[in-house]
Amino acid sequence: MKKISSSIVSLSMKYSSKIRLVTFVVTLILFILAAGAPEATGSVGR
Amino acid sequence: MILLSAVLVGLMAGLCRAWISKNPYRVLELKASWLVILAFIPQLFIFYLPSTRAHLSEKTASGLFVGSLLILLLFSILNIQKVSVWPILAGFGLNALVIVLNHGWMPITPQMVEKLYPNAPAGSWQVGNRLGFGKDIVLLPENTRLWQLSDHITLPNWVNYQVAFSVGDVLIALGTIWLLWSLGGKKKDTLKEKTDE
Repeated sequence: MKKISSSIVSLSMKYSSKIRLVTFVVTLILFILAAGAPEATGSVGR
Repeated sequence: MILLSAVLVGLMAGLCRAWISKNPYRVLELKASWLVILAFIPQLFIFYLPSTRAHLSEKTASGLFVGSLLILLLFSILNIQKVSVWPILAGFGLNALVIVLNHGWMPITPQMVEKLYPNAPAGSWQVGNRLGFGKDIVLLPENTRLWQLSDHITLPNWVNYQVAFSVGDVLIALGTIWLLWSLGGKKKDTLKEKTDE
């Protein structure tokens, strides 16, 4: 039982770090798209 | 595309750095990340969704755009203590400044528009009006406040991808690469990061 619970904890820690990384990268992408994004011109000449 | 490429380059460089030095790739804890999503939502309607962007008046779109920049400004202030994001925030600040000073849009010169869209039909854009459904407004340099911060930079002609960008965009791109690369560094390299947190 102890082994199962420690496996669950280590699995959740492993995935939580990946989730945190994904969340951070998505936040960064949204920020730079909102703050910069030089090519959102769309439909000119098309 | 350029800014997204910076994310890709920085992330790959940082992950490689972490892998080579056998360190975990660190994650920057940002305060109030939800503000970024909140700021992006109006821009989704103004610039990206065909069903909405064609139906918003220029005044409404400009107001929503400036509003989203104010939300990003709040997010920037809340995270100002994190040194590693300063270049990105500085780039945003420069872009926001020139946008606010020029009718709520990023200025671009007619010469630049002609260079980027040489085959655009006559009448598809006009000086003084917004350019397509993007963030730009076509303005003469003499009518542009702080034109040095506007979308006046392009890639070399031999690059088969022509786009106009600003000094702020350059700072954002370089800052993004540097940030993502630095997060792959050793713990002592990011000690300042930890103390800032």
